[in-house]
This record gives sequence, C-alpha cells and structure tokens, in this order.
Amino acid sequence: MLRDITIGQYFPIESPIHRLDPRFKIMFTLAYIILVFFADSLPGYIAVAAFSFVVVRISKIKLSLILKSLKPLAVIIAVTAIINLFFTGGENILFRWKFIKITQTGIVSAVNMALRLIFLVTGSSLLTYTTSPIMLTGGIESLLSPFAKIGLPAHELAMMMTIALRFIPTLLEETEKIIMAQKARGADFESGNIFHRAKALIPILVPLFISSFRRADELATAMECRCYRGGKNRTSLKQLSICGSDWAALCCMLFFAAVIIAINILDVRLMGY
Amino acid sequence: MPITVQNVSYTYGKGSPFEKIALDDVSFTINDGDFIALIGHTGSGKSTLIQLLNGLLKPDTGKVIVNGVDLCSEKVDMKKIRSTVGIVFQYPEYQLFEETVYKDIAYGPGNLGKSPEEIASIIDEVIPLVGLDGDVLDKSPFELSGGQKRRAAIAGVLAMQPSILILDEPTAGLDPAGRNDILSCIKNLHDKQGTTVILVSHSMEDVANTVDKIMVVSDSKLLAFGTVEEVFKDSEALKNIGLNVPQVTRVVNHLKQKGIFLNGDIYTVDAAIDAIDAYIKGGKKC
Amino acid sequence: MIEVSNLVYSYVTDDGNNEQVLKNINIKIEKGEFVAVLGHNGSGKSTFAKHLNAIYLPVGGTVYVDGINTADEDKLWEVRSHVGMVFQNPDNQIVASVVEEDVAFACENLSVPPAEIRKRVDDALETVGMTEYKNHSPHMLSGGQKQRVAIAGIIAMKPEIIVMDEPTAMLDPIGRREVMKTIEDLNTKFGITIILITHNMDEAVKAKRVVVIDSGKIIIDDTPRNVFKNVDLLRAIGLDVPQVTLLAHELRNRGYDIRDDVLTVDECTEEIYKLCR
Repeated sequence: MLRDITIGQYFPIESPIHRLDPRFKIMFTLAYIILVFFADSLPGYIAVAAFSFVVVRISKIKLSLILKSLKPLAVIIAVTAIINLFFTGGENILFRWKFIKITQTGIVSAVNMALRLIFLVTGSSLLTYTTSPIMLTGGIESLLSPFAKIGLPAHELAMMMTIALRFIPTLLEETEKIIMAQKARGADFESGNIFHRAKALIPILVPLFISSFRRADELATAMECRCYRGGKNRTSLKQLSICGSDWAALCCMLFFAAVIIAINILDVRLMGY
Repeated sequence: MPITVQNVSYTYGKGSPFEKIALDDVSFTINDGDFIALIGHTGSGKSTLIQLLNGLLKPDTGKVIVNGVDLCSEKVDMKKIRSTVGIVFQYPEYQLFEETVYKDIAYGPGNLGKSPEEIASIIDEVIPLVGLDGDVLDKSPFELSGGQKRRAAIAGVLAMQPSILILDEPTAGLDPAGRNDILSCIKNLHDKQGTTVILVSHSMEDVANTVDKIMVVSDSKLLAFGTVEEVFKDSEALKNIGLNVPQVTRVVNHLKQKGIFLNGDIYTVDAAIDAIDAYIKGGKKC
Repeated sequence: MIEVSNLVYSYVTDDGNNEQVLKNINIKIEKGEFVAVLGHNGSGKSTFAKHLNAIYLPVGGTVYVDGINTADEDKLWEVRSHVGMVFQNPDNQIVASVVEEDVAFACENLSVPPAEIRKRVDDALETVGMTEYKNHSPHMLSGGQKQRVAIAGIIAMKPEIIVMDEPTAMLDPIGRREVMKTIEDLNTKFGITIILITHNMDEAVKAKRVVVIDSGKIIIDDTPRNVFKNVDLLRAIGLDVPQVTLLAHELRNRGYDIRDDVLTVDECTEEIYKLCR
C-alpha cells in the first residue's frame, strides 16, 4: 500500500543522534556523502561501513529499517551495477560473448557504484529517520539564511518543505480514497497495456489535482487568518541551540574524515609501488 | 438473499506496527429490498464493512456472499460485483473528473463495457432519479453548485445500475434543504425502483424518518441489527457508545418516567403527534 | 466589539453580471456574546464572516472591529489577531506536522518571544484538552481532535473574537460534541466572543443570540427562543428547527395550548406532560 513508503519518515525515539542539532546533522550528512565518493577502495569502504554501522547502532534505529529503505531503490542499484559491469572499458577482459565483455575494471566499478548508492541512501535515510520534519526544515532554513542576503528565499523554501511534509500523508490517504471510489465505478488499474494503464490514471489524477488546489486555497486563507506574512520578523517556538554533544559529534566526524583521507593517501602510495 | 456476511474479520496493516483490527467476527444477512441505516463512529469499522460488501477489500477470514457469489473465490467477475453493489463514498463530488457531467456519469457504465446507445439511455434514466435537469449534462461538473455536484456524483454510481446501493453519509456538509432533497431521492430509489439501500448516517432523526432497519457497528463488532423499533428500544445501549435516539423518542421516554404511557413505538414527529392526540382524546388513558 | 454598518458586498461574475452577495447588513456584536449565524448554502453567511477579519473588504459600508476599520490596511494584522477564524475542514488549516508547532504558528507570525510562545501554546492546548497530544502528528488524530488543535492555534493568538465557519460540519457526533463543548467553554470561561456559523439547529440553540441570513440580508436577529418559534418561515428559507420545537409547533397547529418556543427535550416533556395530565 501507499502508506508503506518510508521516505522522509521520522522515528521518534530517544538517542544521542536524535538529540544532535539538525544543522550539524545536515552538514554531517553532506560531509558523509562527499567522503563516500572519496573512499573508492576496499579499505575505504570497510571504514565507511564500520562508521555507518556504529552510527546506526547509536541512533537505535533498527538495521532492518535501514535495509527497508534500500528496498525501493534496489532496482536502481542493480541497474547501475549492471550498466557499469557491462559497459566499462578496460584491458583485463575476463569474459567475452558477442559484443558483451566483462573486464576487471568493470567489476570493480560495478561494486563501487552499488556500494556508494547503498551508503548514500543509508546516510540520508538516517538523517530523516532521526530528525523531526520541523527540526529538519528549521535546520535547512538556518543553514540557508546567510544566503538570504543574495536573494535566496530561505524561509519560503523551508515553509514549502514544512507544508509538503504536512500534506504528504493527507494526500496519500486521499489518493487511496479516490482509487477506491473509481474502482467502485468499475475502474480497472491492473490490466491492459501501458497506454491503457496510463489512461486509467486520469480519473485518479484529475480529482487529486483539483482537491490539492482546493486545499492549497483553503490553507492559504487559514494562514492569512493566522497573520502569516512571510519570514520577516518571525520568531520560533523551538530555538536551535548547539551543545557539547554536537561538538563531540563534530570531532568524531573529523576523525572519520581523517581516516578516509589517510586510507586514500596510503592507497595511492601502495598503488604507486 | 442478496448479501450474506459470515464470520468476517479484517485487520489493517497485518504484521506492521500500525496493525489495527477493523472488523471482528461479523455476521448478518441483508434481504432484497431492505432499507438499512448503518451507524457507528469514525473508526468503528463501518467503512471497512461497506468496502467488503463489493469486494474492494477481501476479508481475512469468513465469507461475503452477494447474490450467491462468494466474493473470496478466485474466479469472481469483479466488474459484475461492482455493478451489483454500488457505493457512493463520502463527499462523492470530489471524485468527479470528466469535462462534462454526461461523460462523468458515463464513466461507470463505460467501464462495464456498455455501448454508447445503452449509456445514453441509462443516463436518461438516472438524471431524473437524482433530481437533476437534463441541461446540466453538457456543463462541466465543476461549474455546478455543491448540491448539484453531489447529485451528479450519485448519478455516476446509479449509472452502474446496482441492485444494492450503499451511501456513506450522502448528506454530509449540505444545508437542511439540500439534505432533505438527497434523502427523499434515496427514499424514492428504494420505494419506486426496489433498490436495496444501505445508508451510513450520523443523524438519528434522519434515520428514523427514512429507513426500516438499523445496523449498529461499534469497536469492530456488530452491536445491533434489527428494525428501527428494536434498535431504538434499547436507548441505553446506544447512549453507552455515544449515540442518542431521536429527540422525540427522548421526550416519549421522559413522559413514561412521569407516568404517561403513549401508545406505540415513537421515533418521528408525526408518530408522536398522533400518539399524543390519541392519548388526550382517548380520555387520557393508554 | 464588532460594528457592521450598511455592509454591501458584490462581485462581477464571469458573464459580466454584478452578483450582490450581501445587501445592506447592519449588526452590532458586544464583547462576550455567543452568536449563531444561520442561513442556507449561498445565503451569504460565509461571505459575511470573512468580512469580520478583513479576508474580504466591504464594497459598501463599514466593518469596525474593536474600533478599527477593517479597510485600514495599516492595521490589517491587528484586525486579524483580534478576530480569529476556524474553518470547516480541519485538515486544510493545520500547517505543521507536529501539534504544538502548529499551535505556535500564529504566535511565530506575530513575533511573540519564544518563551511567551511556549506558555501560550501550553495554555491553549490545555484549554482545548489536547495537551497529551502535543508531540503527535496531526494526521494521526480524529476529526474532532484536529479541529480542537486548529482552535488552539487560534486561541494562542489571544483573539477577543473567534469566528467559526461550520466547524462541526465534517465531524461525527463525538467530534461534534467535543468541539461544541470547547466552543462553549471559550465563551463562558474565557469570555471570548463567539460567532458560530452552523447548519445544525441543536448547536444554534446553545447560542445566546441567533442571526438568520437569507439572500444577503439579516432577516431575523433575536434569542434562539424567539427565532425558532418561526417554524414556517425558517422552513420556507431552507432551514430547520430542533425536532422538539417542531413537535410543539405541530401540536399547536392541532389546536393544543402549548408554548411555541420550546427548545429542549426537558421543556418539551414538561409542556406535553401539562397537556396530558
């Protein structure tokens, strides 16, 4: 069912990771992503995997949940790996059949790509799993606010995210209702070719769009009634504040970065010899 | 016997942390031509129940049999079931999508494989049933007034020519005049077309004025199912689940406590007036 | 206090006609009143309500809220913070995905300092009885609970007046009862002026004053007792009366000597008891 999608879901439990300042967590996630691309050797991946595992344990998020978040992307990961496997050039040909050839470089880059994607998804889902949507948007708004001077609408972007996150469950529920109602009128979404199936979606999409516009209109009026007039001079119920554990986490992150860079340098040297 | 429900249970999100029992061992039979009110709170299981009746959901255990067809068996013709049991969901006007009212009403019968000629004659038939004028057919459904939109949406379900019609709070959000219009359309369908009707409603006053039988669902279970008289007789049981009998019935019950026993079972204003009249004219005896 | 004089509102339709929605409305609502506004769909009652906090501005006439002209653009936000508004669909007025964050929304917009917001949010949630849900996600709540959260979001703004536009129309009986209880409390315990637009006659009976609007005009403005005894007039303009009022009315029509302004089950029982004794 549609409700099984876990993207952007937040699991409110108590853990040191949950308590971290969202701005730090967002920056850490970005740093982690960059480091994943840096670490393109076996020892590097082992280090990333070890680090990821430890962070997941500290966050008290079940490993199975992380694996579940990979599931919808399994196809993309597999396709990426296969493309890399067959279409990477290279000298050391291991297997050849007609125009298909598998090279050593191909295998290496396929594994590389698959691992990177897995780590990327793990890292970013850990961010949303451990950070409430409000904290996340607050963090993004705060991080982007320096750019407001050059015209970046930081508050508006954050407000858009808040509203989007608020309405995702409502619209999913609404979609389910519309599907049920059209099914009751004999609609068939399961059979026929792609063209037929696409056409069968119109009775769902039109009502969904119309209702979204109606909701948007009503929400805008309700927001005006509650004196909303953009981000200017707005205060906030929850103030972001940095505390000791944030700095401790920063040290861990720096240490992890140092490890990855060290492995990289060592690796290059070893390859050199 | 068009609908038989035998020991049906249904659980949402089985195995997930959000698991919730929606229906627990429910059994009943609905006869041809019944006019039934289904009452219960949000989350009581009544929405699940109506979706089970036309195969939109399949029970975890138990059987749903419609006109002799077991909806759980593999080779059921779902389209046929959908055309037998029509469901008008809450706020049905939100499901309108076509350019014209005509095309929207035609969507259901089109899905059933009816020819354009058949569809045209079906539309001619259903438009007066919901109290709409023929000249709305060429308009966009989004140009209509709230009440008209709702009628057009109901017409879209009637165009499936169901012999059993389920309506989930068809009067929600309408003003009193709109509400009375819709209710009299539904009453007409039952009385003149012989359609079996299941009406989900929160208004006990409306229920008492229109239906023959009442089904009460509470906490995933079938709490009561019987004639209006039988169900309203136990006003305490209804009160316990936060429902109330109609105001006139409460007046009659209070009078009883004061020693005035009116004749008959009284659930509507008309019945109350006649009973009071008879009581006073009959020398103040029962 | 609200003072509406000679209010006219009209707009030009797509085919060029001038559609007059409100025709010369005059009404004065004192602080602390509980007014129900009745009228069928399209009577202009929602349009009227939206004039009270400057969502719409008068085409003719004036609307004064606590001495401020709603047409005064410089005082727009003052007007809106004085007059809160609750709408029919609770889903479409909740902005944030955590209850307490949503309740804080108006305060944040009004630049209330964080410590003060905290206090106002806690108080508002307490008032509507939703404190234990403050960290919940709104979409997991029942309709009645959502509507109470929406009301809390308005109370936190500390308005003197709250306009409710059919707040119970989409709720089930339990939700209706919860919300009506909250509304009555706001009026009696906190002295907030309530303007309740409704189709439900049993809710209108709970108000101290009932205003009936039909095709853009106020046609009756009186106590519920005096309004509902006009059974034939109300029915003629597509409205209803409580079932017990109708019962008493019909008995009078049959020649019985019974009060015509019966509003509650108890009153009705008492009156019929007198007849039968």
